[in-house]
Order: sequence, then C-alpha cells, then structure tokens
Amino acid sequence: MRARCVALALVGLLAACDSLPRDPEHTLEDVRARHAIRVGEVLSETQAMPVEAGRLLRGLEAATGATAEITRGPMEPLLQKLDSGKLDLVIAPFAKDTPWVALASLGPVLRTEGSGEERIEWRAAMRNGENRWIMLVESRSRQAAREEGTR
Amino acid sequence: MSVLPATHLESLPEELHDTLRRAERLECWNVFWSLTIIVFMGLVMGQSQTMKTAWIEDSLGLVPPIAFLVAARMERKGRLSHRFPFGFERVNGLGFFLAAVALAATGALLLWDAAMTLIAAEHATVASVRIFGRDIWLGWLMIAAQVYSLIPPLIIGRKELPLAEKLADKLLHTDAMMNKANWMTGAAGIAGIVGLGLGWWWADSVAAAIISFDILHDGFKAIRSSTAELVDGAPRGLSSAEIAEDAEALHAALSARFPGATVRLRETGRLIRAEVHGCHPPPGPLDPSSHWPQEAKRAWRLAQIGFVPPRGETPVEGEDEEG
Repeated sequence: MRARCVALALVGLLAACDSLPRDPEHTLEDVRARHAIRVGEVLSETQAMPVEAGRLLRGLEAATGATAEITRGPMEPLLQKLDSGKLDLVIAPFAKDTPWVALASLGPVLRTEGSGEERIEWRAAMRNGENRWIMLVESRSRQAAREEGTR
Repeated sequence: MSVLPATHLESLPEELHDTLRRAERLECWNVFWSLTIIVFMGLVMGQSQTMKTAWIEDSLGLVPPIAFLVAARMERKGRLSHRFPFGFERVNGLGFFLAAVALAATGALLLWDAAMTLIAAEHATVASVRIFGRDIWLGWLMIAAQVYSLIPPLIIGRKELPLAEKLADKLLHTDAMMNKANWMTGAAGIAGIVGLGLGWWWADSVAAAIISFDILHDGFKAIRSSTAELVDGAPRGLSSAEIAEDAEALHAALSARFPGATVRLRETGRLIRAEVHGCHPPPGPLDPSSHWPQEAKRAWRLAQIGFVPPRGETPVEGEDEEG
C-alpha cells in the first residue's frame, strides 16, 4: 500500500516536473495559438545575422509549429516592444557587460565576434519572467550553437 | 580571603564547562553546515527574490554562531588583568547585540527589496541549465537547495535550545531562533519557487516579504533584549524582552530579606549581579547562593551581591561579596 502511494507520488511529481515552469503572460501558449513567433532583429550595417540565429529560429519553429515573423529595427525600440509583449524574441549583438540585462532575459551565447573589450556576443533576448518560453529558447540556442561548433 | 578566579569560566560550576563545550562543538557544526548551504544556494540562486533573501539570511546566520564561538573562547581563555579587571563575561552580551543588529538590518533591507520588487511588478526570470546533457529548469535545483537548507538548522536549532536554557545564554538562544527562521525561510522559499513555476510572478516576492518580516521581528526583539543588558537594565528572559522570571523571584527575595532597601539587578553575560542600596550587609560571611530563591543548581546565576550603605555613611569592609 505504502509502495503504491510512493509510486503515485513519484508519478505526480514527474508530471509536475513536466508542467513547470509556466509563463505568467502565456508567451509560449500564445505563440502556439497564433502560429507565429514575433521576432525582432537588430539592424546593423556592419554585422550580418549569424547562421546560428537562423538555426535557432528553425528550431523554435519546429518545436512550436509556428512561423517566425521578422521585424527589423534599432535595439532600444525592439527591446521596448519585447518588454510590452509586442515581440516574443529579439536577436541582437550584446556587449559582455550589457546594461540591457535588466530589461530582458538573455539566452546563451549563439556566436562570439571580436575579442577583448570589443567582444560581442550574439544572443536571443526574451521577456523577463516568461520562464517556459525562456527555457525553450535557451534549449534551442544551446542546440544551435552546438551544431555550429560540431561543423 | 577567597582567591578570585583567573577566567570567567572558572567562576562557573564544573557541569557548565561541559555544557559550554558541547555548545561550542554544536556551533562548529552549525558553521560547517551553514557554509555548505551558502555555497549550494549561491550556485543556484539565479534572479529569484526568495532565493536571494534566503541566501542572505543563511549568510547572516553565520554571525550568531561565530559571535558565540568568539565569546566562549574569551570566557575560557580571557584572564582577569589590569586592563580588563572584570574579565570578559560581557563579551557574550556584546556578541548578542551584534547578532541582533545584523538580524534586524537584514530583515529591514530584504523587506524593502521585496516590497520594491512587488511594487515595480518585476517578473523574476528563472532560467535553465544544462546538466548531463539535459536542459533542466533551475527552479528544480533551487527547490533541492531549499530542501537541503531546511535540514541542518532544523536539527541544530532543536539541539541548541536546551543548552541555551542551561547556560542562560541569550546569544545561543538567538542562534536557535535564527536557525528556526532559516528553516522557515526554506519552507516559504519552496512555496515561492513553486509559485513562480506556476506562473504567479508575485509569489516569489510575497514569500520573500513574509520571510523578511519574520527576520525583522526577531531582530527587533533581540535588539530590545540585548540593549537592556548593555545599559544595565534588569535581566531579561531568554526568549523575550520581558524581565526574566528568576530575576523577578530574586528581586522579591532580596526585597523581603532587606526591607526598606532598594534592590537593583543587572545582567553581565549569563550572570546576575545584585546591589542592595540603603542598608549594610548582614554580619558574618555572606554566600550569594544562599539568597538564590529558586533551585540550588541554578544558584551560580547570582554572581555577586553588593551593599551600598545609606547616604552619609561610609561603607564597611566586606560589603561586596563575590559568588
């Protein structure tokens, strides 16, 4: 009897493991319902979007069944849109000690360019606190960066 | 003429030496386990307000055991000297005051931080980590850290309470309370992280605010009690800022024994010192323990009775009796 209770509790716990975390503002649910990932890409005259970014978007499209819709623009307006929930994701080059970290959650490094004080890290930025969505983007970002590393 | 003890510890009964040694051993374990908790929690802290609160509380939880160990060492080793003619029995009281201030300051700071986070409606991000080839939500590691942080303070705090009672040690008692606050913090912290995982962004800060309020409350209580000792107030109880029960009984016994005199009691560390103002001491040898109104094995608490003659009279020899 006791073993059955423990087994049931473990099954419950494993089910809970899968269902947590959830997004307070339902970003992932909305992406799936909308069939669209609203992505912001920072415009740069000197830097092209890295291949890892494309790989990340393809990974997210496969995981959510949604299509990436790209909006291009300068960094600050894009991050403001991200904070207000008008974008789901912003892909941009960030300095290592970027102050934007207070406004958005930055994912793992997709690609590094330059060195020393001029070192730039390409990352995906997500809306703070949307932990399920953040976890998915982080997972796919690691995958995208790894795939490039194994080539 | 009696020979004065060389250290404060020598003035205490033999059985208390063993108790003090046990308390010191327990505090060494306390420091060790606290450090393991601080490291584990620090590794998985992330942006969570609850985790930050719990981590700072656990770090500050080191102040009482370290203060106790320093005070106990001073009691054991500190010799009466020309520079310190009264020895180091009040080091314990000083440590108690420091621990109380640290506790209250932490509570106030963390309460402010949690309230500001709530007002600003900041959504805490708890990201993921990659362990053994799998992406794991950091919240699960935070919950594991909180569960781990529950166990040592729960056990150590319960073991400290009887020792603190026996030694009449407020610093040790404050540490037991701190341990209680720590395991309660762990429990509230788990609720906060689970709430955050469920998408309730406010759960984390609400849990942190509740924990901070509890720390602040304990800190204020300890400050009231410790300052009372430092300004020569009447001896306070172990767990409250009210006058201790044994001090009330002693005051009543001395008032009855010396009618018309004013009885003043104060506490130096774990000892009580009495002054009887407006009367001469009774003739013959005077043993302070004979005035202790409660069980004889606690008579060591009364270290000294001093007599101050009525104004205009000169004191006679032997008006101050050491226990």
